[in-house]
Amino acid sequence: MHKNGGSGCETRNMPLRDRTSLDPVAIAGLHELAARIIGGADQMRQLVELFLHDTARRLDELTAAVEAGDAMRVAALAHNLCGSCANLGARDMAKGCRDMEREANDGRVEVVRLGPLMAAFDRAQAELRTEFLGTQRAAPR
Amino acid sequence: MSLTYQPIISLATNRIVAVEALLPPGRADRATTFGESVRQASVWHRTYPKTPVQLAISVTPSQFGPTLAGTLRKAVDEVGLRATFVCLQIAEATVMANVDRSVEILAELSELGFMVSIGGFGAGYSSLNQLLRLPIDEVKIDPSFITGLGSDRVNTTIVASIIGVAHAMDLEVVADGVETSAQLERLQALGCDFAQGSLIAAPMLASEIDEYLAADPTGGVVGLSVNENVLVVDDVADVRMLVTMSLSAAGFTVEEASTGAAALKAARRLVPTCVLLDVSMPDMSGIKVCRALRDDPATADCTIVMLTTNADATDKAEAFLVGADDYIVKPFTPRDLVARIRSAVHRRQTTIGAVGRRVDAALLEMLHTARARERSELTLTDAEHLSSRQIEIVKRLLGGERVPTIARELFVSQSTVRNHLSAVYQRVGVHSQDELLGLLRKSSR
Repeated sequence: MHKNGGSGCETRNMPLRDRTSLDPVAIAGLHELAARIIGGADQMRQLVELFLHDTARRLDELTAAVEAGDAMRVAALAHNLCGSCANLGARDMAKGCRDMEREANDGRVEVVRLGPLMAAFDRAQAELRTEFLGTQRAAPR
Repeated sequence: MSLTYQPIISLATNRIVAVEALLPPGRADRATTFGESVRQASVWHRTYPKTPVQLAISVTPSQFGPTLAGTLRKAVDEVGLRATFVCLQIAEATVMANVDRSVEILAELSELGFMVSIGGFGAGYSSLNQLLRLPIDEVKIDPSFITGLGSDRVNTTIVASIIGVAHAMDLEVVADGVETSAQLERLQALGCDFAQGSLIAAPMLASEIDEYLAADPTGGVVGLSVNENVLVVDDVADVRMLVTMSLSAAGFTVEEASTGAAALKAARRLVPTCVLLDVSMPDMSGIKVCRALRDDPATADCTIVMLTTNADATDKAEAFLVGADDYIVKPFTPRDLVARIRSAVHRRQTTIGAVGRRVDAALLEMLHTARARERSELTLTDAEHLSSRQIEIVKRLLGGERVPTIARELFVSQSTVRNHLSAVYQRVGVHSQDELLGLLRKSSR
């Protein structure tokens, strides 16, 4: 439980501006799934809305836990949020969560900074909206 | 968009016997359906020669004309597929529009070896007398009759009569639009031959049909078990939704639970084929839920797959120790998730179903002979209903192990072992451990 969950982030050293914050493989998988379900595009929109709504709530909880200096809760919340982010292809957010979980587990809750994760959420939110909620982009085949 | 294929299973064996090629909504190029689906079917026949699956194709009223037989013959000849592997579904109304002309076309198709199925059977109020005199092989009951099966007396009677009359005329019967297990059970009871519908499997891509055909390289087509339902347990709503979408797209029936306690309740009620279980939940850890599922005789044989964010080896070991069948680390892609669940279910069913029973045949045989000597009531089939866990416990008892040791060895409580044992006593018809062991030892002498 105290180790950082396996997969390191290979994109660590890439300049932020030159890439999307999303994981293209995961995003392609979601498009492919939507294409296989009747009404899949609608369901995918609902899923993204659900994720964004839920994540906003969980980030509030995380903020409160950081402010309260509750390392265990920070670690648990970051750990759980990481899974959702990764599934929806929000790669940079998932990395932010992993970093935060590690810091909290090391008992360094005072060095935990919410800024990068919040920025990653803003970016992921905009990009996911463009990807699934905005233009009626056809699923790649 | 590619064509999709919906499996049709045999109700006798639960195995896929055919797939119906379906045109995605919005695609109007019906003309290419023949070519594309026949080519795909020929690939399946070449790749999986031991598991021949028939291709069902719908014929539209405009296609049902004098050139149909020629067009189809050319299509199958081009790809080298035998005509008997193609079943043409023609709507009742199309056939009945001009019976004399239909008889000629149907005779020609039959001559070439194509199978003919009359679709939407029963919906057109045609004369059964006329319809059943046509050169056809199969009737496909209209989904509108299946909907009310079991609940609506008129519908139930009509379905029963269609099956009865068709069988009397040596025609096979397919039920289309099967959506609930109650409908399926009724169809089985009425002796219907084949079934198709969302309960069994949704239309899927050719590559997914491949997965089924490839799953059993030794022979028969692997069965789509009609009750393949998955219970998804995760406290996070978006994870549940993504999992549900992925699994329903692959034809599973999915139920959700958001807490460990709700999961245990739902699992008892549903006895799902598979439980997909998040490890970290606020009310009760997935590990605890898994242990409880394994301890409960009702759910002990379910496939359990854990879902976690941690690739940590100790977590994995813990999951397997409490009896999980597989362990998936998030993130997952929808395809991987489905493949992992399918293989976990397949592995477990092979173990407890075929291999497990074969391995334990000796014990079953012993129970059988023992019972036969006593009262001859216990049949081998009865004994086969013992779960793998129950058999394991009986074997250990026979080997001289005592309940506390068995409990420790199997990572369960002593009361769980005793519960399993009382279930065995009941089935075998004895009242105590001594009586059971006496019976078994007597028969093994």
